[in-house]
This record gives sequence, structure tokens and C-alpha cells, in this order.
Amino acid sequence: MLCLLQGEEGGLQVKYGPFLFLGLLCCMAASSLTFVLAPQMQIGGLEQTNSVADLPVMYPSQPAGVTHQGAEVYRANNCAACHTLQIRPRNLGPDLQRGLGFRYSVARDYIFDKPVMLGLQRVGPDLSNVGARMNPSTILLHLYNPRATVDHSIMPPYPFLFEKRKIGRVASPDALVLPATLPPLEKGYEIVPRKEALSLAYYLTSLRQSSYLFEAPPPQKAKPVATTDTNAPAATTNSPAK
Amino acid sequence: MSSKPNNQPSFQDGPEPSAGRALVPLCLVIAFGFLFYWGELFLDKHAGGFQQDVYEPYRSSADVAAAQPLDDNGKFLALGKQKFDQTCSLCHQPNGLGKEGTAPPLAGSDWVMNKGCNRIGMIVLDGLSGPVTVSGKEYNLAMVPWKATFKDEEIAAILSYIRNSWGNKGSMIKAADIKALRAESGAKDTPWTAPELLSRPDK
Amino acid sequence: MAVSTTLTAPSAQPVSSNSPQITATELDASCRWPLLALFGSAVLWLFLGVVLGFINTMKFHVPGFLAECPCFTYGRVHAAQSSALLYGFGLQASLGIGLWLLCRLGKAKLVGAVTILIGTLFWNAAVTLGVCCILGGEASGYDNLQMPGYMGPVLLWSYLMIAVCGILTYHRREERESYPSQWFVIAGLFWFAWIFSVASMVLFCPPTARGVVQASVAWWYSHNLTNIVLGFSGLASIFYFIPKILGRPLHSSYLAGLAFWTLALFGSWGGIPMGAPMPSWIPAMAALGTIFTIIPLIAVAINFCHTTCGQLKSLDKDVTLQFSYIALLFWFISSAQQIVSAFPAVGALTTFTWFTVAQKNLFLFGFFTMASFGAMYYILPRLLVIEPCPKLAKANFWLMLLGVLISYLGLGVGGANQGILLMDPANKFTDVMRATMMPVRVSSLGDLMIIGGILCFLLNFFGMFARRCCACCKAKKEACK
Repeated sequence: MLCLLQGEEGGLQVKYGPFLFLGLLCCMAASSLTFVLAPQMQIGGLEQTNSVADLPVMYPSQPAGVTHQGAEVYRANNCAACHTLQIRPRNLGPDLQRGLGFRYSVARDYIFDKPVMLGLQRVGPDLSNVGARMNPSTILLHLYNPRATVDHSIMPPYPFLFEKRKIGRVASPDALVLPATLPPLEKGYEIVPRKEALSLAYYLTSLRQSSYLFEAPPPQKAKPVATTDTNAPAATTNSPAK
Repeated sequence: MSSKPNNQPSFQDGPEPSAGRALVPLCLVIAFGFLFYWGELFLDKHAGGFQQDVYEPYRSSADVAAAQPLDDNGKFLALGKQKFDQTCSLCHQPNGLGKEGTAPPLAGSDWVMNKGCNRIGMIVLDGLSGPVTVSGKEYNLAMVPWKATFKDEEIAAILSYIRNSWGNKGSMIKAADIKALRAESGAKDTPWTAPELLSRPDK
Repeated sequence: MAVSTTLTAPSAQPVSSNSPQITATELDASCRWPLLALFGSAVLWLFLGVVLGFINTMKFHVPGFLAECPCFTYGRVHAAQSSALLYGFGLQASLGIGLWLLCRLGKAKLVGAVTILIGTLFWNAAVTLGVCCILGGEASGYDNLQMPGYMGPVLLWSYLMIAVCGILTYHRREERESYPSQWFVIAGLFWFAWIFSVASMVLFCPPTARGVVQASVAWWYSHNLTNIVLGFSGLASIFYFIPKILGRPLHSSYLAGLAFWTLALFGSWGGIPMGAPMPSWIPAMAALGTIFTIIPLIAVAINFCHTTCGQLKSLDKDVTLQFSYIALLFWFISSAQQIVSAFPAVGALTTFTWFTVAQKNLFLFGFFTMASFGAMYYILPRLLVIEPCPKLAKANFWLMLLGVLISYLGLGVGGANQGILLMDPANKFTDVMRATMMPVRVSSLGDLMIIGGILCFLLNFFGMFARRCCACCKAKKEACK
């Protein structure tokens, strides 16, 4: 049946351009309806909601201005080339088993993101919940020299986000505390993060998908969420918000 | 080339390719038929009924509702939230703040926070028309009756949800309460007005 | 090894017996300058793209490489590289090949050569500016659509200038009967205009889409750009050159039609990984569409098995044929890998690893670039009326083939290993990445060979161009005497 149909179609459009055009129009319409229009209708209007487990709090919270600036730094340097911002469900990958997150990511987690940078490759670990495992000072040190915080990290350093300057009357409160493993600085100098580094660190610490929602209910067995860190050394791991 | 600059190579082309007319093998067509059938099965398994709130590993909205926290109250509230988000949130907004002048807010509303459901239960069952004063402000929007749409349990769940969301703290409403109200309202086919409702005791 | 000039069918004759007034030479002459502009800039972008890619590869050997300069951070270079390869090289090469095929198969002279030249100029200006913006930190943040949104109108407009000329050429064809390659070319022209305008509207024109709808649209766009727009162009070239050079008709136009329509319908669904934070039907539809592309895969396989049966020994006779065969082979491997990875059980292992990168690189370099090179080795000598250097062509072919293979195997093995190791939560992430660095580093040897291959092509192309100019000058001087 199909082969006859195909034969007809092939035979017809061999001669007439318009059939080719109409057929293409249908194919283009089918795929754009499925992946552009339908998602927009269904999840384009998602709003904040209150978490199932924690009723009075609306989730996700409106991002602060500095968070937005940090996200802009994340975008400008295309961090998404190596880091994802999405946790897959238990049956579609080892993310939860590895303790990368508390629950799988859902559409509602991203309603305030512009642009949404989910990422497609993990050269580095997923960052959806990095705010629960690293504190700002560790993140800054990691950006300055990844191997100072994580042995054998393959991440490139970002020295242009920092400034080396002479210590004034008082040392800057933001100055990095370099560990002993790094070559010491000349006396009288300090490494101070620039505005971009600070906002990026602020943005990263704000990343945390921990509220259970209707569409992402807590696991059935009340098992404590694994908090083993994939990246940050144990000493700097924060206890995740429950 | 330099040896014979004027004698350019002559690029002769064969005839343009033509295409034969061999038919698509029948076995291939049959195999594709099976493939499409398998595709149906794949979507049954992984597409979650094309619902907005279904993510892997759940298969349907019912699965997600069943997976809500095991505590009965929590499940009941989740059911209420689901129904509220599907229907009521169109006017009253997902955040329960309503719309200025038309749909009254539910968050912090004195009507919602009555002792029981003697008044709001009737509003949901039979609707409400005419002006109504909520938390000191006046609103006016006809609310349609939901008697025929929702079961007692669902109305109770919605009411419990709005009484326990957005900072509201109220008692849970039971399906039995709604059942009693439904019997009392009987075959009433006109919406309530605010004064009529206010004449009912707050319980 | 000689170039395709030697492989003329015994009954070599002017292109058409119906309209003897138009010969192949005249057709080629009509598209000479527009196509030279498109191909020349495409190849330069390709070279720039792979060099940028190599800068990034270096960062896996020396993480601190070029780290001081914000313009050369891994992410920015990554975005610039994909833009240079897809927009600078991919689309321009596909336009050039498409226009030429429409002229040849329709036996019509190219319409609007000047318009195409202007369009090419604007397109290259826009891509240059876009890549500079990306390096300056203006990337949009959407995969494969990284050029800032305000470049969109210029890009779309200059593309339309070229594409409309292509459609008009098709419209004015003398030969009414269409050959499969023409469907693919026409489809590609419409397709890019459509997906690019939809994606730009949704992502960049306020009110922009909210939340993960952006991701869905960006992934849909990116998948369509590579698999349909570039994929169709590569297939058009393969469908044309293999039967043409073998001197045999294509086995079946129905099978070709089946492949074309199913690829247009199902190949355009996809690009969204299973487990993406969207209601599960969206990734499920994407996976299903990708799995259904097994239909065009089988249809194309049967078609070419019958078309080429018993002719494989002629493989080493013609460089275009070599490139086309290998491109077809890599298309099979890459598509098959994409289909297998679409199954949830496999995807759980391979998503987010080097494995998917291996597949994408194989598609871009192994399939599309090889097919374009094959086509250009046929077209360019006819445009310039001068033969390419066969040694460079041979070096180009082998360097590309080995480079693509080494790079693919390195990344593929590394990626599979990465996926398997990550399944065990006991393995620390950094340890897994270190363990998989070795194959990734091996793959940079392949990248180096690819760069070498492309350099050979570049030398060959500009060498031909220079020799042609010299010949012209000499002829003029002699005429003056």
C-alpha cells in the first residue's frame, strides 16, 4: 500500500514542483508544531508554584539582579560547552545515583532563565546544584586555578576574571586565600576577584534545585539524599538545604 | 598547464544521471508497518500521556499523583493543587492573588479562612454572582457552578488546598462535609449572592 | 589517480539532446563567479573553524593554554568554531553545490549571479562579525545558534538573496523531470529559511519564549540545521555524483523518494536528549523521530547497493567518487549511531559524553565535509577550466579519511568508556575524566590530520585559481602582441 502511495507521490512530484513544496511545508509544519508550538502552549506559561513539601514558599524564587549578571558571565564565556544544568531521572542516567542532585530537573526550574543553557556535554560536572556543594570562596579559587581545589581537574583557569594588585592600607576582604600547594605570591600583592568573578560565583551559589514539586515528587522511600560531592573537596562541602 | 597554456582541458561530462523505477520492496514496507506499531508502544511507555506534569520515570498523571508524599493530607492537597491549577487558577491565578476588581484573591481571604466550608463550599457547588467584598475590597465576577464537574472528594481537596496555601493556614475539608452541603443545596439552579451566603452561619 | 575528466562515458555528448543550445560548459560559465565566491569563502571558514577547534583541543593537553585572554576561553572558542563551521563553511558550501546541481540537472543557466555575489558578501560579513562578537563575549547561549540575535536579519536576508536565485533557477529549468538531488537541494533551501526564521523569532524577538521552551526550540533548530539542511546537501551531492561518475542510473527513484520524505518528516524531530527537563513526551517524540530515521537509512542503503553493485573496483579511479563513497559510508555510521543512542537504555550511558561529540564530528567532517570536497573536486576544475593537482587531491583524501577515523575512534572509545565508568557512583568524576582523557588526546592527532587535509584542499584550490589567473594574463599578453 505504502509502496504504491510512495510510487504515486514520486511519480507526481517528479514533474510538478508545487507538490514538492506542499509536501515540504507539511513536514516543516509537523516538526515545528511538535517542538516549537506545542511546548510553548503547554509549558510556555509555567508560573511559580508552592512546593509539595513546603507549602508557604513559592518556587522558583525570582532571581536577584546580581544572579542575572552572573548568568550573563556564564553565557558570555559559554560555560555550557562543558557543563550541563540538568539532572536526568533515575532511569535515564546515573545523575541522582552520583549525588549530583536531589531530584530530577523539571521545566519549572528554568522559568526565569534567559537564555536557558542546559548544555549537552559534561566535560566538567553538572552544576544544577553546585550551590549546595560549593561555597563562593571555593568557587572563586576554583575559577582562579581549578587544580588548587580539585586534584587533576582538567578545567582551564580563568585568570582574567581576577586582578593581581598591591595590597593597600588594608587587604581586600574578597582577596583569595591561596592554598600552600600554589606558588606563593610576591610579598605585598593579593589576588582580588573582579566584578564578573564575584557575580559568577554568586550565580553559581544560587544554583540549587531542591524543592520537591508536584511534577517532581520526593522519592517514595524516605531515604536521605546522597550528598557525596563530585568536585569540591570534602572540607568545603556545605550541607545541602533540606 | 604551463606547457600548453592555450590548450585548455576539455571537461566532457557524461549524461546527467537518471533514476530507475524499481519499486520499494514489499517486505520493507511491511517491516516499516511493524516499526510504526512499535513506535506506538514506545510512546505509550515514554510519552507520559502527553501531559504537562509527567516526567520520566512516571507513565501518567495518575502515577505522578500516586507518587506524592505518602502522608494522606499531603496526597489530598496534591490532588487539590492539581485540580486547582487545571481549573480555578485561570481566574484566581496560580498564586491565589486573583485579579483586581474581578476575581477575588484566595490568599489571605477572609471568606476562605472561615471556620469551615459552609459558605465557600456552596460557592464552589452553585457559583456566585453579584458584588462581593473580600478582605475589604470589592470584586464582581460571575462564578459558574462546579457541582456537575467535580466529585465531593475533589471539591474538598481543592478547598483544603486553598485553605493551606500561600500563607493560609486552615483546617482540612472532608468529602463528607461537601456531601452534606450538596444535599442541602439540592436542585438549586441559581448562583448564590454574597448577602445570601453571609446569612449562613460561619461553620 | 586522475580527476573525473578521464571518466567520461563512451557516449560523451553535450548535456542535452533536447536543447542542444545549452552545453555543460555554458552552464558552468554561468555560475562561475558566484560559486567561486561561495566555495572560496567556505573553504577559508572551514580552515578557520578547524584551527579554532585545534586551539580548544590544545587545552586538553595544557589546560592553561591561551587562558590569559578572555577571547580564547574554551567556551567562546567552542561557540566561534561551531559558527564558523556551520554558517561559514557548511551553509555556503551547501549553497554552492546546490546552485550548481540545480543548473546542471535543470539545464538552466544560473539566475541572478550578481544578487548571489552580493548575498555572499553580506553573508560573509555577517558571519565574520558574528564570530568576532562571540569571541568578544556576545554569544547567545544557544547551541549552534551562537551568533548574537541582532545578526539574524542580515543572515536571513543574505541567505534569501541566494536561495531565491536557486529557486528561480529551478523554476526556469529546461529539463522538467526532477532528479532526487534536486528535491534535496530545494528542500534544504526552504528548510534553512524556515528554521532560522522560526528560531530567531522565538528566541530573539520579544516577547521571547520562556523557560525550557527556549531549549526545545534551540535543540530542534540545531538538529534540523545539521541533520536536514547539511544532511540534505551532502545527500544531494552523493545522489548525483555516484550514478553520474559510474555512468549508471540510480536504482530507484521511489526508494529515493521514500528516503527523502521520511527523512524530511522524521529526521526533523530530534536533538533533545532523553531525560531533558521537559515533560517526557517532548524527548520521547524526539527519540522516536530519530529512531524512525532507520527507514531512510535502509532505503538509501538498498538504493546504493543496487546502483553501485560490482562497481567498487572503480573506486580509485576518481577522486570525487572516492570522497562520495566514503561520505556515504560515514553517513551510515553516524546516522546508525544516532539511532542507537536514541534508545533510552543506550542514551542513559552516552548522553553528555564524548560519544555524542564523536557522532556529531563524524557527521560534519566524515560525511558533510567529505561529500562537499568530492563535489568541489568535480565542480571547481570545470569552473576554472583547469585541472587540480592530483597529488594534493590524493593527500587531501587520505589525510581526511585517516584524520576522521582516528578522531572518531578516539572520541567514540573515550566516550563509551566515560559513560560506562560514570554508571558506577563509586568512580569519582575527575578520575573518570582523567581516565578518558587519553583517547580524547589521541583524537587530537586526528584533528591535526584533518587540518592537514583541509590545508591540501586550500592549496589546491588557490593554486588552481592562481594558475588560471596566470594563464589568463599570458593569453592577454599574447593577444596584445
